[in-house]
Amino acid sequence: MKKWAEVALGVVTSIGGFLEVGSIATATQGGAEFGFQLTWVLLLGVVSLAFLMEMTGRLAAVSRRTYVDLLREQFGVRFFMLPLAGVLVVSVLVLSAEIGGVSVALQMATGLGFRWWAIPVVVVGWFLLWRGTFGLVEQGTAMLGLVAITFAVGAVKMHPHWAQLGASLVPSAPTHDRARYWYLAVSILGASISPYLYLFYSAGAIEDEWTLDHIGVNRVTAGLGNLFGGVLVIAALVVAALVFAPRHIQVDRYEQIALVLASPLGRAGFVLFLATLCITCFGTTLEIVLAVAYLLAQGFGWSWSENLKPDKDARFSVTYSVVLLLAAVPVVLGLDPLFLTNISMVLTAASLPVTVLPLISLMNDEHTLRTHVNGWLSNTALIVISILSVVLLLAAFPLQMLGGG
Amino acid sequence: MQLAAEEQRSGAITTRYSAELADNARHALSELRSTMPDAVHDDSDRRQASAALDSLDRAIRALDGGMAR
Repeated sequence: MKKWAEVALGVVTSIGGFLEVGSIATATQGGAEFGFQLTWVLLLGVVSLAFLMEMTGRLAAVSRRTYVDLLREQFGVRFFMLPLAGVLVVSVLVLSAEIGGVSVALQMATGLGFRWWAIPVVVVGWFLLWRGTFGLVEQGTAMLGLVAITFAVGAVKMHPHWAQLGASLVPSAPTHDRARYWYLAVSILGASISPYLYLFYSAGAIEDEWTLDHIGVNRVTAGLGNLFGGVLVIAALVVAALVFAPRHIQVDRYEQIALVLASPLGRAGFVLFLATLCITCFGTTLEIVLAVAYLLAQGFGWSWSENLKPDKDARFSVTYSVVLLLAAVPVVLGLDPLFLTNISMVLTAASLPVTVLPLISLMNDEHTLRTHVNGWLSNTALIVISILSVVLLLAAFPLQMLGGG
Repeated sequence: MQLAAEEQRSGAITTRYSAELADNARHALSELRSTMPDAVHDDSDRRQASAALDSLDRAIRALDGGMAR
């Protein structure tokens, strides 16, 4: 019974945690400009993330060490500096975008400019991290994040052409504006396969004291959680495709995206959209800042746990405090949150190889994983994801120049 | 903007949000009006740009009108 409760909680956490500023922005932009056509990219992102989370979760459950610990131990400190720097820079940028997302939602609700909301958002987040536990951060925000189901309700109420939607799960080439299409595809993949997601998941497995008994829980959580989370992002794309695309509206500002649920659900849809943007971005803010603090603490061998009192892991606590404050700076300076989101998603996509490629070796190391090394399915998926990550690295910057708008 | 005006008429969006949209659109409109002479190359360009600006102007007035009611 306890196992099923853990599975249910894990799945809910994944659903709530999947939707955030990057996925909302890129999915609605994709839907507005290309209808259902980019749905296959979302599916690819969801499946890739599910495999990566399952692998890093399994690694933690079997070895009782996080992915970051093993990266440093098995590849050496010099190599470790590469993923450390890459993930750090990208995560702080994504964190800024999330703080921007919460601030924009509050601006639309109150009329007070988003710049003024950045510091209050950071202070509330910091307070929760300082006083709260891992369970509170993980489950509290995930439960509230279920408000994102509004997107699924909105999509169903818009009566999409299901056969056409099903057909868009098969990859297809664009009929117009190729550079923009592939740019949005890269952004969607960057939003779906963010390294902080599997680094946070791996550290969470240690925080929750996973053992070999959790291998099944891990598999179901990574699979079902991402599947349901992915359905919500696809729903966001579907609603945007049915509301914005017929009117030829290109999404350039978050204020436009707020209209996406007003069409199918009226005033309730508008209010629920603001709630979804605010809650999911706030939850992701906490997850990313913890992921960055975990990365540094595990990388440098500091004491770390969100369940410890701050004076027991002072460097870990100072790290998340400083990172939160740093990430608020671009928002306070008034950098356009949607621009910040788009640029951080492309950079995320470009940073994937440094955390994906080492998994090929780690997940086949019998000394670490014993009988739980990758089978043929996981290895095939990992090789495909690795190739995809290298393609994203090579394509991200040219596409940002050609299709970034 | 036209979508915003439609949603405002149906009561789906708040007055505060409509006012914010209208302000942003007014700012964009005045910026576009000042840069338009440098951007258009011929009469056809000029006609299309004027039509787009008029449409934006109408949508802003529709939004303003909705808020006044």
